[in-house]
Amino acid sequence: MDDNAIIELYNRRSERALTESNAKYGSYCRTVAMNILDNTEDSEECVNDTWLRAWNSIPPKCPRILRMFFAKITRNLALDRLKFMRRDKRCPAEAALILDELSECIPAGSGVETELDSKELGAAINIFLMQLSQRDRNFMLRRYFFAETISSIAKRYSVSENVVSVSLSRSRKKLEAFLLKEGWEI
Amino acid sequence: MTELELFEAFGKANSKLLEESELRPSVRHGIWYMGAAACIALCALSAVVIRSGTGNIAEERITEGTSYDTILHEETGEVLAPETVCEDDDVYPVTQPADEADDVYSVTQPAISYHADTAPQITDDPQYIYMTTVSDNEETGVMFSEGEVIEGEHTGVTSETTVNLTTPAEEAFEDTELPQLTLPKYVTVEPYFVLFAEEHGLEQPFDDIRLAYDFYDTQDNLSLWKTVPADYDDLRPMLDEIGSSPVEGFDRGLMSSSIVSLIFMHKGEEMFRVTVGNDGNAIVNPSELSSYGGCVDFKVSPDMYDRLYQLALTLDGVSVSDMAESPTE
Repeated sequence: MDDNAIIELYNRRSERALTESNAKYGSYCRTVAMNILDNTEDSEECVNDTWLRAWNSIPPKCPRILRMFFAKITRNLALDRLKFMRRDKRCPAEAALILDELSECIPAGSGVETELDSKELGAAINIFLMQLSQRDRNFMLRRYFFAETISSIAKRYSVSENVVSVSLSRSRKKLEAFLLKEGWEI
Repeated sequence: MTELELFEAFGKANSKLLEESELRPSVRHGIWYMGAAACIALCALSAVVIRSGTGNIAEERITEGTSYDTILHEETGEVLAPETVCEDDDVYPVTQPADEADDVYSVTQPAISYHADTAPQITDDPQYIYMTTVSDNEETGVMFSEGEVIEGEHTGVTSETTVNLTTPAEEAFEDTELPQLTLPKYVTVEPYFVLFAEEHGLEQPFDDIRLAYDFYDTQDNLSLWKTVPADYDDLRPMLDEIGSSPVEGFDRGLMSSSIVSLIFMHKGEEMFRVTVGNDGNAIVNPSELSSYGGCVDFKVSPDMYDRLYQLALTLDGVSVSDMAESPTE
C-alpha cells in the first residue's frame, strides 16, 4: 500500500492504518529502535507505541515523508527509553559510543548555564547539516540520527570504515566550532 | 548542553535530508571515482602538481598566450606543464596557437591547490586517496579524486597552498590495480562564476534549477522541505546580486535558522546549491558530484531571503494564509 493510502486510512480513522503501517514500516522502525536500544523487547514496544503516536497525530498532521515521520517518532520513543537505561547504568554499547563521540562536539564556553531550547538546537543542527557536503551529511545522519555502526555506514556507501571515521571526526570538529559560534556553550 | 541533548537534537533533522541519506551511491557515482587512483598515480609519477578548485576544462583547446598550471594530454595523459611545483606567478608559455594544435588537452587553470608534506595514503577503498595537507599552518585531510578535491577541508585553504606529490607512484600504489586513465569530460567553473556566465563566455553548467524552502511545523517540529522548479531568468537578478559580494576567507557566515536554497541540477544530479539565510548571509555549497571548488560565502541584502521566499511561495502557488492554516502541507 502506498503512503498516501496509509495516510488516508489514518484520516478516516480506520484501524487498518496501524496494521498497514506495521506491515510496511514495522521492520524499518524496529531497526531504528534496535540501533539505539540493542534490545528486542524494548524495540518492539517502541514500534508498537509508534503507531499509537501516529494515530494520535494524523490527522491533523499530514506527513510528507511517512517513513521519516515514523522513524522520528520511533527514535524519540527509543531515546526516552535510553534515558532510563542510562540512569540505571544499562546504556547499550553502541549508544554509549555515539554519545561519547558527541560529547566531543559540545563546546566549552563561559561556564554560564543557559537554558537549552531544544527546538532552536534542532534548527541549528539542520543549518549545520546543510553546510556539509552531501557525503559528510549522510555519514552524520546515519551515525547520529539512525545510530548506525561505522561498519554499517561504510557498507551502505561502499567505502572503508576509515573513510567514514575520518569524515565523522572532521564533521564533529566542525560541529563543535559551529555550536560555539552559534553561542551553544556549556 | 549534554551529549544526550545533542543526540536528541539530531532527531529534528530535516526529513528530506534523512531521506537523501537512505539513497546508496549510484553506479555512476562509483564509476566516476574509478579514475581517482589512476589520475593521482599519473600525477605522482610525474611529480607534478595536483590542482583543484576551478578544475579541468575538458576539450578546451589551448589558447596562445593563456597561462595554465597543468596541461594533460587527453589520451596519453602526458604532462606538458609544469614539471615542478608552481608558484603563483608561474606561467606556462603556450606557444602553439589553438587552431594549429592537433591534440586536445585537459587543462587546469590557476586555482586553489594544496601542499602535502606526507606521502599520499591509499585507503582501503581504491576509489580514494587520502593525504595530509598543510594549509595556513593547519594540518587537514583532503580526499582527492581525478585530480580534484572531492572531499576535504576547504575552510582556510588559500590559493597559495600547493600540493606536491613526491612519492613515486610505484610505492604509493604498490598493491593497487590501476584502471585505464580516463579524464572526465565535463564543464566546470567556480560556482559563483555561473552567476556571471555570460561575462566569462561559459555555458551554463546546469539544466534545471529548483527553489527549495523549508519551514517547521511548530507543533511537532516536523520540518518540511518544499521544492519547486524555478526559472533562471527569474532568479538571475538575485543571483547576480548575491554573486557580487563574495566573502574572502571562507567564513562560513551562514548561521540563520531560516533558509532558502537554489539547487542547480545537471542531468538530474545536484551540482551545487546556493543557500540564503534571513540573516544577510549566503553560501554556495558544491555537491560532491560536481567538480566545483569549496564553499564560498556571500553577504547579501537582508531582504534577499524574503524575496526568494516570496518567489518560492508564488512558484509553488502557496499563499501565506494557506501555510498558516495548514503548515504541514
